[in-house]
Amino acid sequence: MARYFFDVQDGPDFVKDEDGHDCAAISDVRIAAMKALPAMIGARIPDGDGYRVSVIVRDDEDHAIYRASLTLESTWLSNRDGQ
Amino acid sequence: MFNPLARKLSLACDFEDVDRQILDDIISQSRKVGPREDIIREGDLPDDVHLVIEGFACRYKIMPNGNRQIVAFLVPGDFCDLHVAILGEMDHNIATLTPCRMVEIPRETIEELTTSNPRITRAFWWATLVDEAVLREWLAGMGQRSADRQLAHLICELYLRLKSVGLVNDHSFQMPLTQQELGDAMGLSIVHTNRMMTELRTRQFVSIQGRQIRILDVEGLTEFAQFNPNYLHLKRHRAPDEVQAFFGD
Repeated sequence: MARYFFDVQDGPDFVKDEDGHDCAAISDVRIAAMKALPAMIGARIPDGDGYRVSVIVRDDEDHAIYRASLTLESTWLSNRDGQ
Repeated sequence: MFNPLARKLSLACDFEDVDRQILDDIISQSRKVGPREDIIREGDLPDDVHLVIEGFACRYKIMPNGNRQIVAFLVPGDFCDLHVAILGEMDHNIATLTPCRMVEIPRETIEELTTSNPRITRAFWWATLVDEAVLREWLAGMGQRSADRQLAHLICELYLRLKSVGLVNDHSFQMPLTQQELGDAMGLSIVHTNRMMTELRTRQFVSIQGRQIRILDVEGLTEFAQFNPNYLHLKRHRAPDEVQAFFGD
């Protein structure tokens, strides 16, 4: 059991995890990070055509060890610009 | 004697001395229960109704994949299972989250009170209806509120519920819940819950010191959460005869 810190880059906002939480196995780190992503994009409608949320995991020695990202992409397919 | 049950129920009813004595007798024998212990499991046929006097407990369901959904937080003054006096078999689990002091009230006592004491019966009924109203609010929140508002809303709710039993001091109260437990109540992942808690701290709505939470900006937090406390029914709705008596003067 070791403690990991799950920082979040939510569009332009970086949110540092000060508390961390314990994971029994390293595979749980990946599961916890990935599981969080869809809901963090959630019902958000970004201003532009894209939005990206990442979870960056640090170990208890402050080394970044893992990153998972989810990107929302959109584009108009004809000449309409959505205005 | 600190009697959170009497304190809570007096929101619903003007008790007479005899009622207060009954409510004091009910809680006179309590027992300590350790943290994270199941009190009742799904399928049990409990003989007693449980009441929280100290600490936090929860109602929960375990899903087939092993995930836990917390469907209620139970705080001092809350019945865990008043309905078992009528429904019988438990359809969910109840467990302590922190060390608790609990009271076990025999079913017969509840049945006896409901036939002999209309004021206490009315108050029990009120408590059950408020539990349902809280559940409706949670359901609406889980379906419709953004995660940050959901967490802010839950904090506003706990603040008022604990305040109504005298457990808030200068906008501070014990919120001994882990982020896992908060997440399991809101249907959010632990990473997401942590990020939302950080957000509420960064916006300076709340500060957290260990298990103590302080609301720094009640108005700001309430507004952000779009919190309307009506569902907690902390304001007395008068019974028709009382209303009549009121206007009759």
